[in-house]
Amino acid sequence: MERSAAGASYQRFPRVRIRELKDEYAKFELKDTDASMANALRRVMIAEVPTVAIDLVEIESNSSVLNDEFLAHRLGLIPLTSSGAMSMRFSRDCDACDGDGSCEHCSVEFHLAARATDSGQTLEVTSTKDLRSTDPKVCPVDQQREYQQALGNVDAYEPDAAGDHRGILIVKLRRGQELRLRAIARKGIGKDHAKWSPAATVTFMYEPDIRINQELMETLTLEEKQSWVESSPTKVFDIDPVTQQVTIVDAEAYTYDDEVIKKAEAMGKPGLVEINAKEDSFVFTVETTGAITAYELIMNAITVLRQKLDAVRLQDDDGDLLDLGAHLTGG
Amino acid sequence: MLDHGLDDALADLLPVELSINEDTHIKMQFTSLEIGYPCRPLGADIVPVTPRECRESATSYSGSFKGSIEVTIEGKVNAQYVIPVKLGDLPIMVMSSKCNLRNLAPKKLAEMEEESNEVGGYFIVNGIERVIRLLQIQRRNYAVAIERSTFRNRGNNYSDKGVAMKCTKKDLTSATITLHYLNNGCATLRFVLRKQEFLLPVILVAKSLMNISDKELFDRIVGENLDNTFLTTRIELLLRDYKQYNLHSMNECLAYLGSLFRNLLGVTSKYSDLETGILLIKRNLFIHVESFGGKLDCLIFMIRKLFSFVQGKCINDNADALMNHDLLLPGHLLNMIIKEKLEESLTASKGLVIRDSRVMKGKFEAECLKNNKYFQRLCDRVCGNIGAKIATFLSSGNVVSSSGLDLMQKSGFTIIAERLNLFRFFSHFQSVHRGQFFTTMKTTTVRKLLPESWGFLCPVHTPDGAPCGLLNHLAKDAVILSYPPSKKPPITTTHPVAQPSAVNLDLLCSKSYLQEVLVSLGMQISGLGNYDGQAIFNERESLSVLIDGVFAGFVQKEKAPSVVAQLRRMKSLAKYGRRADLPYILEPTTEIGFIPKLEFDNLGPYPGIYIFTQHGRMSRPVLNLHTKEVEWIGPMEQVFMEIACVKEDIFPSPFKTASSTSVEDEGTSHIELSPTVMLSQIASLTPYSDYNQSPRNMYQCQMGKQTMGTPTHAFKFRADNKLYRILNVQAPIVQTKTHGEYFMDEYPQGCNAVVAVISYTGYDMEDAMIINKAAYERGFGHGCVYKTMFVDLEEEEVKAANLTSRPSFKFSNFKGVAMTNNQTSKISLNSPVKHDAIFGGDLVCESLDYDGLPAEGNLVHYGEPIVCLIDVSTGNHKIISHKDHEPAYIDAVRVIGLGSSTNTKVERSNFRRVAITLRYRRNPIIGDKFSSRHGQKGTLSVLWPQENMPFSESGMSPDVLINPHAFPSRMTIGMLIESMAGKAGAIHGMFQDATPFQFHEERKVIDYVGEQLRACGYQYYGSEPLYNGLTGKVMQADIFIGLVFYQRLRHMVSDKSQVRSTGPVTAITRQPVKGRKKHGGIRLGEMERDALLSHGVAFCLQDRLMNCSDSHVAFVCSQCGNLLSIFAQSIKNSIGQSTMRFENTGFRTQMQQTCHECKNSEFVRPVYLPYVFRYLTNELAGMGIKLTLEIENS
Repeated sequence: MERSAAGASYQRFPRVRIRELKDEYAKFELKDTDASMANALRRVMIAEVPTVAIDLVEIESNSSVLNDEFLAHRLGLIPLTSSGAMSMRFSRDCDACDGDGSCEHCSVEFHLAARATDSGQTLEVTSTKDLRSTDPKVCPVDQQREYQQALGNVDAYEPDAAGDHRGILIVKLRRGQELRLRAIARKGIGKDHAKWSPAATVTFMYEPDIRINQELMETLTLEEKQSWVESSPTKVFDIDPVTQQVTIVDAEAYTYDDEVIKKAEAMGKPGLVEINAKEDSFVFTVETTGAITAYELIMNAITVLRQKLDAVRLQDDDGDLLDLGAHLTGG
Repeated sequence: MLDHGLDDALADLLPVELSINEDTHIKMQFTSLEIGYPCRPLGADIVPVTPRECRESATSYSGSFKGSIEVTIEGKVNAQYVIPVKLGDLPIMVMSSKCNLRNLAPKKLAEMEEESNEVGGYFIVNGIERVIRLLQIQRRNYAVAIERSTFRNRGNNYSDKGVAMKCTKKDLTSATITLHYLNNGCATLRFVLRKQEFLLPVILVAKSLMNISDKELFDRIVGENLDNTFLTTRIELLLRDYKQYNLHSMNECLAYLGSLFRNLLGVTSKYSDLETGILLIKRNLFIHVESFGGKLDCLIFMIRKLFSFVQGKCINDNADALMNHDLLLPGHLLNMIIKEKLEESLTASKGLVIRDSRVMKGKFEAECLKNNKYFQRLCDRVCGNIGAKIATFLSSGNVVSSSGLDLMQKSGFTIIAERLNLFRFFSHFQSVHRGQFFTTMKTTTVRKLLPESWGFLCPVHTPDGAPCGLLNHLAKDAVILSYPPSKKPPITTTHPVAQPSAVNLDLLCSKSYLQEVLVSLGMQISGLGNYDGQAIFNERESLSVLIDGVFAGFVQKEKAPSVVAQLRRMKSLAKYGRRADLPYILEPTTEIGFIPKLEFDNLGPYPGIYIFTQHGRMSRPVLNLHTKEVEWIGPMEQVFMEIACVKEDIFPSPFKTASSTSVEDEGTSHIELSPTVMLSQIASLTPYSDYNQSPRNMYQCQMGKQTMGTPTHAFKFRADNKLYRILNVQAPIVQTKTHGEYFMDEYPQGCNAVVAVISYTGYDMEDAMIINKAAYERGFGHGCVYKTMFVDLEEEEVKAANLTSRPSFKFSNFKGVAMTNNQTSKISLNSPVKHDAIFGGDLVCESLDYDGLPAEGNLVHYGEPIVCLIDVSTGNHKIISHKDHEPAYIDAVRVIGLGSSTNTKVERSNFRRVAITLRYRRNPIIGDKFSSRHGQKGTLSVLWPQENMPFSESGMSPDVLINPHAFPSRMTIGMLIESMAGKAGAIHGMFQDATPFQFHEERKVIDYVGEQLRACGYQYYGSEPLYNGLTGKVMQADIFIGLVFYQRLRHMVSDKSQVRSTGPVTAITRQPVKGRKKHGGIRLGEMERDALLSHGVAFCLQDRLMNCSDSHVAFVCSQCGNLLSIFAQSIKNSIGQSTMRFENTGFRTQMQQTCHECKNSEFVRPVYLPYVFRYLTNELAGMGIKLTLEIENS
């Protein structure tokens, strides 16, 4: 049987246009590809881009009000600067050590020692102040930020993000309480545990294609136009103060909520507006935890995705894919 | 009880009198009682004990109970001794006036390692917190008309109608009097004495109360109702019938009664029959009135009510209605019990004195009465265990009583105050039980929710199932008046009872004052017990007025409503004190039960004005529309009042008259302070509960109490059996006003979750819910369980003891070395020294410390050692290991000293008990139970990876997915609204007020929340388009997504999962044991068997019932068919050596099975049989029945 799928090429040439790029935030367009591609990128960003996070905690002394395992969990969730994570080894793959933390290839050691003296003041143990790394490249993100600020690179950061310098609170100690521990951070991916996920928000939307039927629109009074425009919960449309025409101010603010379409139907004017999602155009919004920059996240995600595809391609030689193709065509 | 009850009881205790011979009389009497603060000796000092100490060391929180007995001897020896006696240690209620924590500031409490918000109200007995339940009892001092078929069983002619009155004294000890109507027109009075019932003719009782002529008695009862022939003929009959007794004067009657009850009352020969009769009446009949005239008034009133009832002129009082109920409070119950125990101890000592005097004869007087030594010994012996008896009562809930205490039940008075979470804990103090007797009743009438309960008992907060409707909870604003007015502490609710200052409140409640007030309003004094009470009450024209069950007079029926309105005014304005336009005031919680006379007699209960001032009642605030002040009303009052729920309910306007003092006898007189007052605290914490189907709110009341929450702040200082704790908690975004009023945020029990209502994976069928794996990993629903085990050397020694020796254990970890005190003293508890620095000995358990105890923070798995004990005499060790299959952390190790002298180091290391708290990690796993606050519970079915979860355009992915099918049939609209309100609240950064009944048709909640959502760019109705996380495509329908507060319930699979392939079996039957703890199996019962049979899966059935159970190979002699006559014999070889060493390899070896009956082994065959069959054969053989089997070779 002829395999029609085998010969045809589906290769497309996706284009990326970056709209906005900050350290922890990025917005970009991905065009000329389909949802599977966009979603794969999103999924990889959430679950498979590696970072470094505290994974082993050895508690020497803990007289705080929080349990050992609860503290360990909190420590694990502190984002650590992981720019080097891609080149690090997973400790399970590391041949240089047995994963006990004394290996530079796969782990970073942290120390924490805090004791509330008898001053009567409650001591706040934070990631900025108390968590000490043995590797300057891997440290809690807020320490990195302070370091950067000390260097004078503040302008790279949004002013409001720099508002709170207290860092991440780990535990509060009362007079006489003490916390001493050793922690080992390792490389990992979000699939294994959410603490390794570098993504705070990764989402995309189909770029909407909005067409207003201006002819029909003109049959509306100004008040009707106004109420129609306001029926959208987000500010997509507006009325031109001069021409009194309804215009699209921000198509991407549209959330596919169909409110305006329902409104038009309720007004007895179906077809007032036609909204379609462009099947091959996506707007991505990426926010990171600070462990890596948004740019790194995107680039690393593409690298990881490429590695995964390579793995598939290598399998192709074994003939698995041929079988799959045969299966798809009903052979 | 501590403040006044004990004194009242003491005053009421009768001295015990006895005569040894004609001229020697002894009288014994308690003269003082005293309860001390809980304390313990420490070295030479006495230090106060705190509840925390008792909880941690599993001891009782009790103070010493002391008293003195006065012994008066008359006769040859005239003497009077005052003997101090110890009555044992009496459990003290935490935060009572004898509690060491009383009146301490929260900060101080926290310093003392107590809960900073401690409210007390419970007892600590052997480390367990126990509460005495509130019980509903018949209203005190009110005659209730009852129709009960069991009344017919009292005797011939008895009808089912009667009037009962629970008469109570000042100290709330009570004695019930019942008047029975007989079908022949007569009436008898029933009372209970020492658990025995007695019936007396009413006229006999009346005549013995006062020298009263038949004419006057007739007039007093009938009044001017002479044309009511039903009544007159019956009263005439009663009077005529009485002639047979031939007793005319009061003294004759009393003497007659005295002669009948002499023995039962146990009076000495010193007493005449007349005196005995007086004693009987004083102690048992109408005990709420002192004067005999007053008692007679009460009797006459009851007779009137009885005949009116029988004649059908009034209906029976519903014995299940709250209107006819009071509450039995812990203090009052305890007081009653203590009082009786004191009485019993005196009676017991009386018996002992009589016995001793008989034994010693003449010597007794000479030796024993000369000084107080004899009596000291006697009293110590008799009284010493009263405290222990009370402790037993508290820990078991059983009352052991000689009189029955006029209670309906003997057990079930106390319950454990479980600290599962705060809801559970405080609902114990708000629960009101109808009485254990009713749990066994087959009819459901007692369980019905009656409108009378409005505002007092919550209609929502009652459990499902067996206790439904019997176990109720107090409404939020309802209070219990637990003290008599003058002792009353200020009531701290949202609407405090404002007490008039500088007024003697007791005076305001006294009968004479109230009578004065009533006379000023136009009451006519009447009744034999009242001064100037000559006026004859006329039933047709007037209403009788009773004050605490005492007849005071009557009011013209037309004037009655205005009198009542005036009384209410005096009550609600009381806080301003007396003034020109208000010459009299009433105590604010006085209950003015006004049952009006209706146009048609037979429609309502017996009319009258019943005023109650006693404690033990319930009360709640409403707003008086005339005075514009808060008025406190009782359950009987409210039934005949016009109380509007909301403003719209007011009819016709009560403001029609300009002057508020005018008669307002129609229209709404009061309004509720809020429509939510009918709900209990827990029910009012359900957000938007007015939008839910009502059973769902009931379920939430149950589930709120099963939630893993924050039961306490002092986790470190508690040694409860089991404590649940949830970590990563939040304050609910959507909360009711109650939530803030009660500071619920200090004890949070849940988390706001982003919930999408979507059928997504198929893992959300049948109330399963999907949790986002990332949310779980970030801490959603994490929690832990604390369990405490006590190791007591005493117990361990007894356990390990055999016939000849008993080990003397010590906590230690040194192999074979018995530590001397000298060595241990070198170890300071504060600075751990390495053991090998002191000793050379090896450790028994490497994981334990030198003292045989584990280190805090260690993880223990199944079978790993927790405690090591060394027998000092032999050097042998005993290891106590972790018995749970679940690993646990050692959370705390507490060493419990002897308490007496923990000063020296040696003593300190000589402790005999330790408490070890284990901490189990209980993060959510598949199968754990969660619920929203709307009775929507579900189990976790899968942890779904975040990247596969649906996501919104803004990048949100839900924490929880639930199936849309959870809504249509359950109609929990409140949950949908909570979801939307939570979403809006989260975006706008504010808490949402979800108090029920604030939205309605004109002000729709959906519009309120919808506008908020739209304002921040969301769809009006709370749904959003979501993208499929697997494909990246937009899903067809918009998905309803929002924030809902989720609770984690305490039911966790780790506590329930039961697996077994093989395991322990019971010795007798060799069948698997039952019970999860013992690693037993789940019973495959008869119905399961039937199911398998109907499938025809015979092999499976055999596998379950036989192979996996008690299958064994039995040997049967096929010749005689005997199962029991087979014995194994070893075959001797040719040299005569036994080949017993092969014994363990089974029957195929040198062992031979031989039938003892047939004396050969040729016909013995192996057969597979259930072992229990062999057991049956044995049992039958024991009965002399032989069971034989027929074996055929196939």
